[in-house]
Amino acid sequence: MQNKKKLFALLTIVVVASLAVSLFAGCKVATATETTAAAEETTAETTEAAEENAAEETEATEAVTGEPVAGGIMRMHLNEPVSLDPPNSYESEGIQVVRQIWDGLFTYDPETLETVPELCEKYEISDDLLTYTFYIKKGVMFHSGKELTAEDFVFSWTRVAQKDTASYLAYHLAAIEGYDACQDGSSMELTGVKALDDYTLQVTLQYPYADFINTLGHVVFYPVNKESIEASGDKAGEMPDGTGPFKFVSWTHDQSIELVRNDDYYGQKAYLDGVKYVIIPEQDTAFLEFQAGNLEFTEIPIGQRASVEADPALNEGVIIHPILGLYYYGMNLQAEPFKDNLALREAIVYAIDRQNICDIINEGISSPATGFVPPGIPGFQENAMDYIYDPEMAKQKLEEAGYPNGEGLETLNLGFNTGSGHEKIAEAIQADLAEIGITMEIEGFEWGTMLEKAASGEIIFYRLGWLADYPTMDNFLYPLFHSKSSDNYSDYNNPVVDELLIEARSTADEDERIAKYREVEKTILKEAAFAPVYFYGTSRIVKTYVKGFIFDNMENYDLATVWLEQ
Amino acid sequence: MFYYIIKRILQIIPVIIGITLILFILMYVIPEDPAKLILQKGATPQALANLRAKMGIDKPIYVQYWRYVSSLAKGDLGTSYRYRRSVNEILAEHYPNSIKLAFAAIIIETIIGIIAGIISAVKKYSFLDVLVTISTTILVCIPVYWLGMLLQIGFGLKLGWFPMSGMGDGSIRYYILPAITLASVSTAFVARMTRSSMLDVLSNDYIRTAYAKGLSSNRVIFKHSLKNALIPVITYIGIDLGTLMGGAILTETIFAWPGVGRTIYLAILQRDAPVVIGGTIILVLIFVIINLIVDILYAILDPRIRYGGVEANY
Repeated sequence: MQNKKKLFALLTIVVVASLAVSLFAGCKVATATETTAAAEETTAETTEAAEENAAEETEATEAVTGEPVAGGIMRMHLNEPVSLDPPNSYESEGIQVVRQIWDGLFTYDPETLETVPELCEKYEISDDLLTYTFYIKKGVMFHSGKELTAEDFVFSWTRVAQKDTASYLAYHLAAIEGYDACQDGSSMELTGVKALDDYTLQVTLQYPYADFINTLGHVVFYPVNKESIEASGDKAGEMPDGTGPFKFVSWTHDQSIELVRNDDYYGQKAYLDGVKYVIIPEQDTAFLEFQAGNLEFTEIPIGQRASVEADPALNEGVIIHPILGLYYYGMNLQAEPFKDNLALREAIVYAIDRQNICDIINEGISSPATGFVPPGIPGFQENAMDYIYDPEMAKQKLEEAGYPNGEGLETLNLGFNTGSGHEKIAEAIQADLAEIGITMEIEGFEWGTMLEKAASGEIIFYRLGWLADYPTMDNFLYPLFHSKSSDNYSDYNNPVVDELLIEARSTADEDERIAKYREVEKTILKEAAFAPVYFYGTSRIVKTYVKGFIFDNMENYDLATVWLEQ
Repeated sequence: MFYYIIKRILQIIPVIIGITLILFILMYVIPEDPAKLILQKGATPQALANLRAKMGIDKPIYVQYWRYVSSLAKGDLGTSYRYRRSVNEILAEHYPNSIKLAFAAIIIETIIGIIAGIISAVKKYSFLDVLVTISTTILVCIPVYWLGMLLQIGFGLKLGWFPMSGMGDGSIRYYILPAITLASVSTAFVARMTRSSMLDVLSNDYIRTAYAKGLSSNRVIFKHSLKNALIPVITYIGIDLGTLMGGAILTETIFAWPGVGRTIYLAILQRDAPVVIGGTIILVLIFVIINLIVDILYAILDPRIRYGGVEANY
């Protein structure tokens, strides 16, 4: 036994020492060579490009001071994305990168969030809002060198809709004719999308959807290159071939993604030589790297807003503003005690001290919800909701509901997904409700479990959030409240609202359409279908020498317009 | 001996089958649908069905299991639900990084831990001994997370000596802070173990004899005591190496180290079964193979040990 131990000990020492030496020696050389080679390649390309751009810029710089200067690499903090293939870029990390590599038919103006053409020269919409004809810009090249044609859109959109792709984002195409057949596998062809010629794309919808144009700025509609997709096999997510101002260079998983300026870009070429996304899972670590000067852009870590804003070295670069998202407490309207008890639901909405949650827990980054549709969306109505924080009124409503001081009301079990600080908010709301006599228990679940239980009606009181896919009122009201929507977890079912939503979708005139959506929002708010808590906000920080950087209300940005002052 | 090795290698197969079966059942009984977890919006029954078909989880568990085992036989660990990438690739990218960091940490804990332990045993109750005792107690108590951030702020941000995150070009300086953080608790254990083990050995008669023979104290300590005192310590370090190679979730997270610990941890949260099962299989394989090598070497190095055959019956 003693011998065995000795031997094991001896062996461990030998293994540790020899492996350590060989690993360090071997790996270091290999990595160094690889990176040098990659770096050389990039530098060779970028220097050339920078010189060209610099030459162009010199004149401009001479004419007006403070004009953009070319050059430099922008280093951005990122979490590991899931995929850089548009149909599967379903989370914010992949989307950020994909947006720099691609252009879409349309994009959103960063200031107003209005939909503006990008790859589309002009377009026509038929009177019945069913047929859309897009004329695509000529001379737009994929990074691999092929010219973009209407056929690429047909291929890309069909690919998204097909059953086998099982795209996480396929639902965005639901309005297009032939979508259902593609999804159930009975057809491989998305019949509603046709290339009339190389530069003309015609899209036919199954039903009128006036906001269709506004959806086209979403990454899922970006055109991919058929040849590159076929060549990449199962690696489409790692080999993006786009049409945008930056070209993909490399993705070292869990370490970095590098992009370089596209010098064959059809539009205004980017000023930056390239972009380096540094992958850091921890906000605090990323913020330290930002402070050390190794990153130009990152998040402000939770709990540090006040100290960052008080620091004169940092506060100039702080970006804090609302984004298009709603945090809410949902109630299943087909289940007791919420069913047919408007007063009870109203009591809950009145009882929640939203300002307190926003100021104390969210450090003032979010703002109290005033309705379902957040500010920044065309058509947003201020104070759409009559319910303000009013505990007295809440008590009164609770009495009206048949539960004076909460007597007779069973304990409400609130379901939420653990992590991300939802506990703190739940505790605040628990205290608010306790004040009017409602007992609420908090139960944490894994995200998927919670969604499933909410969908099946097992959880009837839950926390959820909704972030806009596109800046339209429809994007909040239709998915959350149409009786046939799979995102309608509260089982809200009002035929009048259903009809109004369809009517709004069929209304070509924007003002008229918005008026209809406003009516829908007011109607649903009156029914207290769920309790809006707050509109999400964002808190980021950027170095002050980064110019031309706009972080919009959808948390998107376009690095093509950015330049570094130093 | 040859038959013994063949037998041992063949024994790995039922072990792997057992592990995959247990993990499969565990992943299956968790009442959470990975498709639902990913499809957060627009999760119509059709979209969910398509995604489940793509993931291969639309079939009964025995079909899924058979499919998995047959591709495993070909060395294919499947495709990640979430990333839609080959699990072989994901693990091949991440495992080496964790193993390298584990070795760096082992080197630190071995050198610092053993030296501190010897000093503290030889100079029992001296100032140095008290210092080692106090600092090891503190090291064990400090949360890894806090220590990591402290090192980042001190040596990375303020002094600028070492990089604070990532593994950059893979040079040694990127290893320093994460390896110290990862080694902190074990270093303290090694120091304490070395100390008590040394004290045990130093009180033996043969040590007194050695001193009586007139040997120098360096010779007694390093030649006669240390060799015997280190056996339990090295055994601990060996076990620790195995643990560290499985990845260190906290250290990897704080230092943005692209290791396997964090990858598997995230995969568990995301119910990404192929990554969880694949990662575990590799870890088990490492253990089984190291064990096998150790057993074989025992037989080679110590002629009294026999495996298999009739010789073992005496």
